[in-house]
Amino acid sequence: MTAGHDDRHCAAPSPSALMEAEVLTNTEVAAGLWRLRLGMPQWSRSEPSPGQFVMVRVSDDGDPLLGRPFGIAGFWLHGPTAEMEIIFRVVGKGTGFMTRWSSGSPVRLLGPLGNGFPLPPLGSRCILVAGGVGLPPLLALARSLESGGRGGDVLLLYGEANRDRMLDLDTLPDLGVRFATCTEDGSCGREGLVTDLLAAAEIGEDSLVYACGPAPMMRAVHERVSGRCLDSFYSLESRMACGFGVCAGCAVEVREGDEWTYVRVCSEGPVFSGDLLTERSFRQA
Amino acid sequence: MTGKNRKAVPDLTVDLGRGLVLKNPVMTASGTFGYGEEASAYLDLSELGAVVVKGISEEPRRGNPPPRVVETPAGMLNSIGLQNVGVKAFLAEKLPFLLDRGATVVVNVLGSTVEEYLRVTERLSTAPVIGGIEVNISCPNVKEGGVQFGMCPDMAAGLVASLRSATDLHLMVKLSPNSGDIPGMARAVEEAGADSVSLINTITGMDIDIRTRRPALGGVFGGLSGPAIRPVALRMVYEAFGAVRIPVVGIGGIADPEHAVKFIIAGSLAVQVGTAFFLDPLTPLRVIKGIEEYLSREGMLSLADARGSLVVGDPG
Repeated sequence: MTAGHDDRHCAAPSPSALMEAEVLTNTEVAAGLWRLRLGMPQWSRSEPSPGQFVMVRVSDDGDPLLGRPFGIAGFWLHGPTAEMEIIFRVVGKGTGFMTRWSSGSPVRLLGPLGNGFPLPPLGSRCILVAGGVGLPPLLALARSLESGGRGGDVLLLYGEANRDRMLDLDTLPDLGVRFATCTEDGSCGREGLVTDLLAAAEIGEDSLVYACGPAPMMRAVHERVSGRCLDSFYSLESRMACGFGVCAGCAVEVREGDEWTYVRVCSEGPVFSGDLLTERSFRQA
Repeated sequence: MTGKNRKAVPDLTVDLGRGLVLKNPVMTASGTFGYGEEASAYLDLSELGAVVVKGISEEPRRGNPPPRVVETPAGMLNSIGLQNVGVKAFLAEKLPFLLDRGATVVVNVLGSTVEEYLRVTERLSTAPVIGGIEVNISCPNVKEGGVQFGMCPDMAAGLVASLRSATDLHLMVKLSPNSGDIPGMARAVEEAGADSVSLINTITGMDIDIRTRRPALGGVFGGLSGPAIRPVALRMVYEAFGAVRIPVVGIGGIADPEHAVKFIIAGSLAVQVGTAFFLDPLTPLRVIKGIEEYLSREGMLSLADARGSLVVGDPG
């Protein structure tokens, strides 16, 4: 044998639980906001439900080490192949790496993971409240309701800091739901916070509220709508190492009767009913 | 490769002593595998050398406040804080699942006092199907996580001697890299009756958010793991191998078969895969396959041929 102790000679690429994907397009659609479309030659899992996420491997050499969780923004099954849309904001090293991906780049991911948004009962009205990069999973929900013939029941509220950072929803021809936008500086849509849009919306006992965005925004939504609507659901974000329930790193505090307990955002969430959440849940998310 | 050139399939079996026999040298590291339930969605637990479950204390523990994890260069810090279901619920609710799936189970045990370690160990010893106990004297994340035993050879030896008199189960003692003297610690627990040592646990570290000027972790300090600690772990395994006769189990940044092979060459008889499991749940199976391929390619018939085979000095 001549292999010696060279590192390369016993590297085996398989088995792996990760799914192979390929970048179809990767485009900066607003300042620091990227729309990544992935093609998967073999989709062997169940179709993701809106609110579920994937852990995307950024690097194979151990730095950055951990996968990045992204809520799925869109998913289209074409026979054995599938297409997935991820919308990400560049916030650090990992997402910085991801901007270098271009058409044909190989990508590996784990998922779909977690529990998605419970679908609204017939006859209810849905208010989707998206703050900044909390938009993607709510896009998936809006698209799903629209394709199920319920787009008319949906109002999507979307807030950003300013026009430059904002995804232009008119560029999504399949969205098909009513929406309203706002910016903190008034450069696009109404001036103010997305919770101001929510304050102006009609909320009743037949309303379901779905929210995803920065923790202070979701806490404000929770305060406003609790007890005033049929139910409300929040997609929480947390730092996580594994995404599938083993590291216990993404713990968040929730109600358990009169007490409290830690649950995992990746496994018991990321979507939680407002009934379970307290002000502390949002502070920790 | 043609039929006549085919090498004999190497024997991957590992006998760690006192009844703990692994079908291959790859275990999961405690705290990275839960109790096997989530992992079983991805892999057959019976294919692993052993499952080392999340550390078990006498009573359930909620763990530390979030944030609990933060990424670092080629690694991560965790401050989970030994969240666990407690020994009673483990035996009633978690162990049956692992056994049903054919796993060889090593239970990581922790406590605040010698008495707590003893009570947990005695409870576990009533379950005759447990493969062994890993004595956690090295968790850096809680004040009463046993780390005080891991810093002082006399205290570690006292604890191990007490456990030795209380159980016939295999006792694997997990050593802390935060102890300055790995050979001394390894010898102390060997003399007190340990059947093997596993190392390293995480290295204590911290990170700071400069915007908020707060610690990046709710528990302030955390344990560093991942590729960043591999060279330190490898050195400590090599030191421990030179110090004791009992088997050494290597842990620290093992993500690929070649990493495991390095630990075996340094003196490990078995290894544990931890943080790399977070990245791909099939990592342990990939490591097993790669070790077998390495031995086969090198013409080695068993792990013993590779173990401790490091050549130091003039190659002649």
